[in-house]
Amino acid sequence: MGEHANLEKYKNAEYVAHLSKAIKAVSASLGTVKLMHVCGTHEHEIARHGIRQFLPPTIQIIPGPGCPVCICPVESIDQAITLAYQPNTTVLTFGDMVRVPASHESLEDARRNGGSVKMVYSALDAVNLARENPNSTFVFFSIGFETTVVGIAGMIKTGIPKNLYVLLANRYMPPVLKLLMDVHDESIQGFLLAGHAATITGLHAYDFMEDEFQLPCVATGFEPVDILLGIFECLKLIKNKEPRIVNAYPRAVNEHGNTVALQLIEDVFERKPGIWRGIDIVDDSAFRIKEEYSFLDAEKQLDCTPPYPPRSHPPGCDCHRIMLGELLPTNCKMFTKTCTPSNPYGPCMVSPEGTCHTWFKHGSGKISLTHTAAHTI
Amino acid sequence: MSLSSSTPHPNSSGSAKVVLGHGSGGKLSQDLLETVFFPYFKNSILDENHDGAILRFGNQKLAFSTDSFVVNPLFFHGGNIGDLAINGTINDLSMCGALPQYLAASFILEEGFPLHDLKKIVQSMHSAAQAANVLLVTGDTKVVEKGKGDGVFINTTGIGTVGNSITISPKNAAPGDVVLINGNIGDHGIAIMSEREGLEFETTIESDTAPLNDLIQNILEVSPNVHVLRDPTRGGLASTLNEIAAVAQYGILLEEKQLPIQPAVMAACEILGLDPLHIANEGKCLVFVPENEGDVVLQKMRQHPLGKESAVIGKVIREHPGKVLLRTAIESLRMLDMPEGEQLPRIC
Amino acid sequence: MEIVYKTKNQVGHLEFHGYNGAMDLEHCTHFLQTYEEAAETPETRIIVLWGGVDFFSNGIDLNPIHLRYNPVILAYKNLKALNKIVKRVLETKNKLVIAALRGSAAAGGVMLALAADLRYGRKGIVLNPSYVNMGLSGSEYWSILLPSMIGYGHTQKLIYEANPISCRKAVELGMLHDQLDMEQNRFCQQVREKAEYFARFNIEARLAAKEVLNKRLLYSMEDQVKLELQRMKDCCNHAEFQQARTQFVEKGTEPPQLFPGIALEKDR
Repeated sequence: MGEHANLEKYKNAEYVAHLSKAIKAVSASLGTVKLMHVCGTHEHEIARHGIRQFLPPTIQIIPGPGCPVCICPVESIDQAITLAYQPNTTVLTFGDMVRVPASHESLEDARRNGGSVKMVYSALDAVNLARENPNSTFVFFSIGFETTVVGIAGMIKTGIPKNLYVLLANRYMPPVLKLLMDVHDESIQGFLLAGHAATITGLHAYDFMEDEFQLPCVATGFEPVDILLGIFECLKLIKNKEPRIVNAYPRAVNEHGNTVALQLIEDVFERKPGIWRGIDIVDDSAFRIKEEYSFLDAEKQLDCTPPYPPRSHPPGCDCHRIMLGELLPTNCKMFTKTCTPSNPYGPCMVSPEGTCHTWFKHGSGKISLTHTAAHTI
Repeated sequence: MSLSSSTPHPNSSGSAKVVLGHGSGGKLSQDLLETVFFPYFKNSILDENHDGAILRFGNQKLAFSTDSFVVNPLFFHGGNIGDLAINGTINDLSMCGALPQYLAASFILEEGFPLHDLKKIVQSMHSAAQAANVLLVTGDTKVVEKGKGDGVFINTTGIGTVGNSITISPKNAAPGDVVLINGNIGDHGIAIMSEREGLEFETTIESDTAPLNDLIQNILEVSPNVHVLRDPTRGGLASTLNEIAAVAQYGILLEEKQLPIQPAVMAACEILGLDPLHIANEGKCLVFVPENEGDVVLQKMRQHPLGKESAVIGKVIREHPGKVLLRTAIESLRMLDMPEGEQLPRIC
Repeated sequence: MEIVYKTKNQVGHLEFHGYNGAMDLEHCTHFLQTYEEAAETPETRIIVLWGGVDFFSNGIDLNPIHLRYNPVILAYKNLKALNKIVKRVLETKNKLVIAALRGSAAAGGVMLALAADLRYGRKGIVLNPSYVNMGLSGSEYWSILLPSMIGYGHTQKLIYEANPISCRKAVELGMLHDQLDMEQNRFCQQVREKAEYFARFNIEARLAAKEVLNKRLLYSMEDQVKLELQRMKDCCNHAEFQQARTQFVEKGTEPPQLFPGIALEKDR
């Protein structure tokens, strides 16, 4: 496809080598630097492209809570499961969400046990399904961050069939950065912000990082060159002691974000404290459907209270600490042993955006070859 | 395999059960063979770990192979289950270096399946067999109650003759060997997936199902020293190469830049979050030959209609025995694992 | 929770009452603010930390922690906030700090007292410096303060055996400097008299001596504290903490103590 061809230059080996050199140079005098990204796609691309092979050993890129499937609270999945068992009700959700274990079972287990669960690729699919089956009740189980929530806002605003409800578990990233600073004892020296989320929010949603923590944040894209550029910019800000919020993804992000999308979100949603699975209740971080649209809010209109209390921590599961970047997958005793993608114990191994799944598939991205084997064929 | 009903994981119920992932050609399939089948059926021929068995009758060597076909949808862009069933067994035989001669076919039909569709499938089988110059010489048909099958399941079994000087086996992969492929990867898997899920891409991606016997014979003409032949079907290139690396106990280094992939397949994979190296192929084969024969084999392959896009994509190395490494387009390295379970599209 | 600060005769008096001696996150933040202000008042030369009446301090507040969605993060925040206070007290340069223990103290509360330059206990109080009974390794600079004040060997015994000790025993070990009157008013009067005396006579010499002495104490403090926090975080995430906390918060009990009689012998 056309766009694919245009992206080639962001995968260019020469640019990558050049940036790798520049990163070495700028970080030479810095000592150990810990940067965190907050996007599952970032970790996926970093591992897949072996980006860490281009960084000096003093530069650590720590994966943060950027996997929307992983941070989705057990409480919400329990609600979705409860709805899936209601007569004539089908829960619609995105791919890997069906496999995430909740208090007693996953949505997939619920389907096996007689619940009605279907995978969809977009909110639009949900609308179409509801239109085609006007006599059934559908619930769209919505998860994801700022990026995904725009589509849901758009869908709600344009009007959806009466038999479609929304169970909203979307989360807003910026407030979590404060928590991350605390958990890491202020040892994080910079954040790489998810480029696609920044296209929506713009840069100012992160101004508090500059004001409160004097910490640089860089909106970063997803191709190898984008990611290395983001890292380079962040290191440069650290070196120059300029704790600013910077855009290293200008082909997609503008400072003020997508004002139309932001307006749409504001029209339909408000923000309240919300649970991040296993992590904490974070103020201002959960999108909620506004009163005006409560007629389609599954939480208000349908009976989605499970007949059991939530059980958020499967015993011994360290997924929440991996999401916080406190532990790496390799620090978890279960990783690759009793927890694998075909037999996941925690959410980070279920989702392709989860750090564990990514590391299982690609490793942390550090491999070497001797010179003789290394020459190109 | 199916996208909308994803793999149950083995320990979700108390005792282990067969899961869909056991049939995906990846790590679970390998586990199933090793824990259930091999312990009972262990013998020197099976131990070769080949696509088919090599049998010796006096001076004559025969290759013998069987394969079952369960595919949803039955009809897709570029073919149907009938082509697949004929070509699949022809290709398994070809991967042993054999010239396929005779086939047997068994059908399990579901009550209520339209005869019209069955005819179409059989027609395709006929043309495929004719194109590959093999004869279908025996067969069987069973019908199961409605709901107990998925339209049609087909099993094909075949035999072929093998030249005496030919010894092809994944065991023979040796450091310095170059790895070739006869064309674009991922076409079949993406064609099936887009058909089944109703995904539309700008270009229609067609399955690449085709009989490889002729191409293989051409290769064997110019290089009797071919070390390994393998068709990277279920589980894709990653699975097949991992199997070869594990058997040979050498490493395999792939070069991402050299991999022939259609832009449309690449785009579909990016949208769905899938790795083209994990996607199933039909009508593709991996060829391992000593380095000095690489060029002449590549030229020969490119002359064949099924090998126009042929490319050298990697080599066998001593380091990282049993592993497959990929050198990415940006010159980094990554380990290429066997896919685990099924390939699920990711959300974003 | 209540924090009161008053000055009189060049002595600053800081009282902080927490329910059951517990200092939650908010309490800690407020305390630190008040202490900062006290430390920056030039006319006072002495600060007396009075704690509460029933308890001097028992460290972090386990109740809200236990009720939290993820107790670990709040526990960690709380102990870091208490750490900041202890650090600030330790680093008070231009004032002599006195801890007046009207009531008993435990864990972080003991360390807060140990951060002071002089420590007086009311007869009859009990100190429980170990965190182990709560499933924790300990924070608030314990691994610097305890061995510096009472020696390595006594620290081992107190922490690993995790038994409480009497006021008299604490004085014997050097954790406290004196055991004063058992009666509250007389105890307070005695502490006030001492504080005012120190403020009046040769306070500069006392502060100069403090600077010299504390230089050793504060040496390589940061590395040690990092390790304390790391281990503390591990403990916070461990099931032992959860079990001990549940026991304590829901049933109000701690695990049965080994030979309680020996450590807590009767005051003479």
